[in-house]
Amino acid sequence: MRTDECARILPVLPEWLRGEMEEAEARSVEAHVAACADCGAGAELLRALAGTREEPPPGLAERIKDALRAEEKGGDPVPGTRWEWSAVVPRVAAVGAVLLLAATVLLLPGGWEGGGEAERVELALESGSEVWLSDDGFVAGAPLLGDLSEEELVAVLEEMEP
Amino acid sequence: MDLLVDRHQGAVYRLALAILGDGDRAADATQESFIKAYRSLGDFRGDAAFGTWLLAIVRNEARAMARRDSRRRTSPLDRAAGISAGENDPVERIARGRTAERARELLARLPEKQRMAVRLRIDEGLSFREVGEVIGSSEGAARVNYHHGVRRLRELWTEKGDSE
Repeated sequence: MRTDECARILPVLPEWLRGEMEEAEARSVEAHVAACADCGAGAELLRALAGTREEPPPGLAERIKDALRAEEKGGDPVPGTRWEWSAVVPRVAAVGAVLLLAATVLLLPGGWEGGGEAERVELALESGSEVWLSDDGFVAGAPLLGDLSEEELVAVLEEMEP
Repeated sequence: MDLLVDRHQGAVYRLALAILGDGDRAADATQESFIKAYRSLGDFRGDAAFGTWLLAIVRNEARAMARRDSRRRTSPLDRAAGISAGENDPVERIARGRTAERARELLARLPEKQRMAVRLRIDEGLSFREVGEVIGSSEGAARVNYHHGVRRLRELWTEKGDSE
């Protein structure tokens, strides 16, 4: 049986089950639930679910408070937040590598063409790629840039700017 | 914040549990949500109760955690049959009763918003307006989610013949 009364009763079943209802209204709900199989089943299910209301595990509150105190001090990493760093670090590293590349190429003695005093050091990397060493540090990708003219390099650097 | 933790940790934990279906993960989500709330206190505008604002945070946190979990293993709903921290305790299971266990298992099968709407109405006594604020919908949509959730529960209950 589904009626307008059912539509009125179903939403207020939680309040009825908790006893948070005016007496007259509660009696009205009770009478309907007793007479209507659908609403009776709904009330039975909701009552059963209310019996499964979970409490947090012991010690969780203290764990949270400790984490908040650590957060307040701004120091200790909080367990469970490291994934955020794992997502951020590669991006920061990538941006840093691009900036280092740009800065090093521009600051190479004798200009970016760089033969100059830069010392080429070939490292046996797993990937088989080469790493170039300048006075300022490692310059990944230098062989590729070395093939460009000065105008082409300026164009590349301009494209890299945000 | 200690007082807020004591006052709200239960509701936050239960909502995380309703989404994640795992006690340990729900505890992690609860802790993470309080930390995010602490960091975002400046964004709290007071146009919602602090409790519902916090529940909206844990909803997002638990959803994100569920997405990460699902990439690593099976769907959280697949693991939702036994939910509580003491789920393996046979004495506790018996004490809770077969009906309650069955109802909880059926609830775990509902779509997330329906599950949250039913849980928030039953466990926390939130109004439909508050439920809407937490699940990110209008008051009317929250009402519909609750309604469909209870109806679907009844159908599942009847299908299995477990309504004794």
